[in-house]
Amino acid sequence: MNSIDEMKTIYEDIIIPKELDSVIKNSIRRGRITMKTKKRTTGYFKILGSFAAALLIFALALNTSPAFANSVKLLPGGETIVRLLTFVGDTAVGGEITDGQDIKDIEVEKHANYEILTVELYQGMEAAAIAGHFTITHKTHPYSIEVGLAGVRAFSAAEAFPDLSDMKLFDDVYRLITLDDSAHRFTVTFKKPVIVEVSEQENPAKMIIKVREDKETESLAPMYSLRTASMPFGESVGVAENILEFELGSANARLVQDANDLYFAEEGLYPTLAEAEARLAEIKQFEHFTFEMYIEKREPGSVPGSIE
Amino acid sequence: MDNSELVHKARKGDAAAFEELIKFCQEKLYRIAYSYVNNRDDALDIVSESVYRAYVNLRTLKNPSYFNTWIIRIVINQSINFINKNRRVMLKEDIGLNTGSQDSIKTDETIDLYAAMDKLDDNQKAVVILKYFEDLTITQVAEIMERPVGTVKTYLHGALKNLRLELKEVFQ
Repeated sequence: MNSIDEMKTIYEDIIIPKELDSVIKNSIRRGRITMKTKKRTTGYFKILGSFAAALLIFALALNTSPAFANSVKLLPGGETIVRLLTFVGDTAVGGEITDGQDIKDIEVEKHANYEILTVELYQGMEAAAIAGHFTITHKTHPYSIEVGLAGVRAFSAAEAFPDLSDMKLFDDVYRLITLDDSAHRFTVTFKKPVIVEVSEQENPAKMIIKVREDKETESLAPMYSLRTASMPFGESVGVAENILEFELGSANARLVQDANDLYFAEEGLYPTLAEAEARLAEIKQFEHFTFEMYIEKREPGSVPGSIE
Repeated sequence: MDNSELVHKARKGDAAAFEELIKFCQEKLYRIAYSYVNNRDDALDIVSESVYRAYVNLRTLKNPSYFNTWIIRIVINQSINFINKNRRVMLKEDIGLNTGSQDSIKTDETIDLYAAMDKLDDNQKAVVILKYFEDLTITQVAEIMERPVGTVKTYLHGALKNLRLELKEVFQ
């Protein structure tokens, strides 16, 4: 190097990543949402708006942090990143349609500013080459993600979930009953609001979920959960969820584990008691739904209570 | 449409106008951030956060004609903040680590440059980037850094001295 001009040439040769456009668009969208949120000031709309905006900010923040790629690159073994997933709304989709996979193992790593949960997928006795089709959905009350994998026939990892007691962000991992013998689901809960980044690897197939604390998310308001009583892991609670989702049109129906490690089907979350009661009245009109429903007020980060 | 008009529209909430403003300078912003962190993904993070902050705080920009100056200052500040926050875990993708991406494959000269740049303090680094790489005048650099022209010249003198020391075998 013999002159400032050569230094400048090196500077000008810095390759502009193709993601720059999308990164900037996401930042502007995030900014727009923040500005809109600031304009909301009173009453019901303030509460609902903050909740929706916080969810949207969370969703837009997902995968907008390209620094994640580096931590993946440093993993030993020469794995190849297939892609960082993009969340659309609160859901990210990855993998390819396969069949016969096993969720073999789930491992966690703790780092100074982030934590990683890695899901390893096997095909028979060998590590699968490509992850089966999966969906990751962000939820709140409690802060969590639900992971669903299709074309998966076994869930070996459920026999020995990782110890999360030393984790600052990951709180719990639990399996969900799935009334489909070719799919499995599990939920990961968090101790505080987090930014989630998901990537998938191939050879061997892994799903990598990296989380770091989201210190900028607004505090969410408590919500009113319309839910069943608590039940043991099994078909009953799965049936309740299915009826809510497919017959009563409850788009946000889900299964949640409570403080006593029992499960309940949740019809949905409502910002006010009146709205929850109104929906409860509608459900009571549906005579084929025989599960008793309850309304539970829940803080965004709290583990749901047990109702028996 | 000139920058001032776009800034005016953006301040009224026209996101498309803001996006157009950024489009004019986004590569410059990325290169500046990259020069601080020598890492593609960290540089993207810095640009992302800078653009977000610029959008949210656009109303604080008093003179629309200073938009470019203002956003470069945001990127520089964000870069310095990033380095300070991540000092212990900074990952330099060019230090013996072939990550497989095209922009991580660097020549010895490039490594020389970044190693030398790393020896400069924050002010010296900013002056070199803005004056020599972005071809700004000393006055413009002074505006971005919010320092008197004389102070910027002092930074520049110190930067060149340090670069010569670091690159003495090849820098003439």
